[in-house]
Amino acid sequence: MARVLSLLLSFVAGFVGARAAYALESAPITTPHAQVKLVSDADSVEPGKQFRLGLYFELAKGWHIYWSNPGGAGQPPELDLTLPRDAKASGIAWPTPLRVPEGPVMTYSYLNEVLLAVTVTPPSGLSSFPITAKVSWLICEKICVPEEGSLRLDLPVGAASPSAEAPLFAAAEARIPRPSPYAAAVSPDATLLLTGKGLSPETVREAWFLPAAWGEIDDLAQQTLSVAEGRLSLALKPGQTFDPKAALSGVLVVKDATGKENFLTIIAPPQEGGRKS
Amino acid sequence: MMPKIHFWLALAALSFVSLPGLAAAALKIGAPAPAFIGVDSNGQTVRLADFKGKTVVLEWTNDGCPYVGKWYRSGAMQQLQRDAARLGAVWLTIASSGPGEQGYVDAAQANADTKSRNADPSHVLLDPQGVIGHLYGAQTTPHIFVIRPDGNLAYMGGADSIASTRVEDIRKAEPYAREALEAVAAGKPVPHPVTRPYGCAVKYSS
Repeated sequence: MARVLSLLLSFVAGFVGARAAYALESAPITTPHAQVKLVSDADSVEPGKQFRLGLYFELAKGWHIYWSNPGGAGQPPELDLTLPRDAKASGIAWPTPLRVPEGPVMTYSYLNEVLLAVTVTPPSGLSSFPITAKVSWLICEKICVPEEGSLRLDLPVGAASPSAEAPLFAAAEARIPRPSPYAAAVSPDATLLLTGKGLSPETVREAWFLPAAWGEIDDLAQQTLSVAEGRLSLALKPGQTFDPKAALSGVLVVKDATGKENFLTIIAPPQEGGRKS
Repeated sequence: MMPKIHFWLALAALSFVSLPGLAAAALKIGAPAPAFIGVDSNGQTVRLADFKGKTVVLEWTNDGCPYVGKWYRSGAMQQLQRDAARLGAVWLTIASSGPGEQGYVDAAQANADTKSRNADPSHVLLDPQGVIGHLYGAQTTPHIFVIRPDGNLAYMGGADSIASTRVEDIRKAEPYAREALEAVAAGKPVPHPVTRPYGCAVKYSS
C-alpha cells in the first residue's frame, strides 16, 4: 500500500514539477549519514552562458564534513566532474565553515547542510549537456566514515531560467567570503591588523580568523580582539608552520552589533618595519 | 638503581597532572622529546629513556579509524615497521583511545590486533588515560613522531602527504614518515620535519 501511495505521489509530483520551475537535480546518493545531490541553478544550458552546479549535502544531525582547510583532522570533500567536451568548470566556491571542536583538535566544518558550487562555462555549440560527478567525502561525528558515490544530471539545452534549486545557491552565496575592503598586515607574532573606514566597536562586536592552510595558526588558541575607530587587531597564536616573513591568508568572520556576520577574504602581508604599537 | 626508579615514577606522576595544551606546546623539533613511561600489551614497562642511542618511532593508532585502516589494509604501515626494525629503530604503536571510545584496546585486544594486522611494532603501549598522547599533543590517528638516537625530536606529523582514506594514494604521496625515518637512521636532516598529521581525531577519554 505504502509503495502504491508513493508511486502515486511521485506521479503527481511529476506533473506539478512540470508546471513549476523545472527541477534540476540528480538522483541522490543516500548513506546512513548524508544525502548528496547534484543541482543546477539554471533549468537549461544556454550555449556560452555561465551557470552554476552545486553539490548539495544534507547531513544527519551531529555529523559534519570539512572545509577546504579541514583544521586538525579530516579532509575536504572531493569532486571529480565529467562535463561535455570544451565545457569548463571553476574550482569550488567554499562557504565559510563553522569552528567545530573534535576531541583534541579544532576543525573547520559544515553541519546540517551545505552547497559546494562551481561555475560552469559551456561551449557555444551544444545539443545536450550530460554531467557525471564522482564525489567522495569524509563525514564524522564521534567516529569518521569515508563515503563516496556517483551522480548524474542531464541538462536540457535551451534558453535558461532559474531552476527550482536556484534559492539554494543564493543561500550558500551569503556565506562565501568577499575580498576585504581593509588594509591588512600580520605582525611577527601573528597578530592580524586591519585598518580602514568602517571598522568600529559598533561594526565589529566579535571576530575570528579561519586560516586558509593547516599549521599557520594554533587553531585551538584564544583569539584576542581589540577594535578602535578605523582599526582592528586580532591576536592569534602562531602555529607550527607560521612564517613571520610570509603573508597570512584566510577568512575573517566579523559579527556586528546586530549579530550579522560578514565574511572577508584576508591576505595579510608581513607588517613593515617590525612591530608597531 | 632505586633513585632512578623513583625519578621515573615521579616523572610519570607528573605527566598525569600536566596540562595537555602546555605539554604539546613544549614540543619542538631539535629539542629533547618528552620522557615517558608506559605499559605495553604484554604488561612490560617501557620507558623512552630505555632506547637512548636508538631511533624511536611513535605511531598513534585506532583500529576503527579509516585512515589507520588505509595504512594497515595496504600493508604499508607493517612494511614501514619492518623497515624501521631493519634500520635498528624502535617502533612504539600507541593506543590513546579512552575506555568506551573507538580504538580503545585492552592488552588482549591489542595483541589480537597486532596478530590480525600482521603488524611488527617493538611494543604496543596502552594509554587509555591519554597521558602519553597529551604529553606529545597527539591529535590524529595516525600521528607519527620520530626521535633521534640522542633523544631529540626529528619529525612530527602525517604518515605521508595525502590526507585520504584511499589505499592507492599511498604510492602517489610524499612518504613523510618513511623519509624522516630513513633520514634519521642515516644521521641526516629530515626534509619535512613538521607536516599536517592527517586522520581521525584521537578519541581521548573525556
